[in-house]
Amino acid sequence: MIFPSRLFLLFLSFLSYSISATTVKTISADLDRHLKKGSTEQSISGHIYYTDKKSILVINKPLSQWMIFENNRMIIYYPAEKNAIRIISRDPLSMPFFQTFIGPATDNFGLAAKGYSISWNEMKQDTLFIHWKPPRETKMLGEFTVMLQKNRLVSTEQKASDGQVISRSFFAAHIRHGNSFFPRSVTSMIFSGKDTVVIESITYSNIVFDRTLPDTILEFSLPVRTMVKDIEW
Amino acid sequence: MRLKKPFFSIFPVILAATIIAIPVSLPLADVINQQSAMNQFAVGKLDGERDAKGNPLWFLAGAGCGCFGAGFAFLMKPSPDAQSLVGKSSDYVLGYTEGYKNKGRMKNTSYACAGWAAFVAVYAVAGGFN
Repeated sequence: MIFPSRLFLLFLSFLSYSISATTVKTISADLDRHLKKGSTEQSISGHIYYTDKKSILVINKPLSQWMIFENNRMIIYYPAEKNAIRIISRDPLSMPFFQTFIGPATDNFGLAAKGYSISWNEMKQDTLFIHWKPPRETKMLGEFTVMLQKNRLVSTEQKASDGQVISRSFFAAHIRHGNSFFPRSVTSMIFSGKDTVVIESITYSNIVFDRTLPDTILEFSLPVRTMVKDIEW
Repeated sequence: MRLKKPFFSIFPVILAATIIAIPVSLPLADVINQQSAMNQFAVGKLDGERDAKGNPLWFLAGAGCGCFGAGFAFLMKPSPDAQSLVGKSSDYVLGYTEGYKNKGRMKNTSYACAGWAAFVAVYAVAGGFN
């Protein structure tokens, strides 16, 4: 039995992008995300700070939460409660859902670096379809299709190994930086059979590239009297 | 308006039960906060257990490595996805992590044991024990 959510997450783990150093050094943006999963819905808003070595997600709503990602270490800090959870993982950790924003800026969307190879491509009207074959070790994942219009990533589709579509993402309202186009609106859907089990909508605004980030971000460290709980994954 | 007799007989019981239920040493706000934290932890744990699907590839580990595969599956702690923790309280995060790791580890161990059992069955059918 295929678990669509897990396959999608497995796909995201293979696409833990890192931006080309020649493209972007830092990104700062406001973030609004709405997630509908089954009968539950959640909305969050906050700010993202991204560098090639460290990423910080500052959530303002529904609560005050900082998530700091650095290699295989993640710190979840709650300023209002003065406590934090420090997580050390076996594998590198990446900022959630932000990969769909920076992915278009990487060479071949980071797919080639993760072992994907181009299977075939076609042009339909003004849309270029590029079909990628997953690496052999990912037996559960099937073809991944990228759709481009005028060098802008507009849609992606991930299939399972049996050909069933498990997820689709749509990218819109692109902002240009250098030769790359970053989507300000990303909508993703995960399917289970004919049902849509997860819908995620993310909007980025006030996007600033290559700005010198404040020291409170670059040199972030937990305040002295923070209660810290350590967890290993 | 005079209250009816049953009220006078029930009211002391209700009042006594309320007093007993509330610890005298703690302010009411602290009690409510504790209850809320426990609820958040419990909700997180349930969500973590629900999201932990295990990895069927451990079946191969059990088939190939026998009891060592099963043992390794038990010792390896699955990693939850950070996306599930965004916008969640610290109590929820702790509960989710615990539920996900425990349930995921048990499922992986089950897969490995199934692989081990399948190998033994195939080996036995093939006459390997003769």
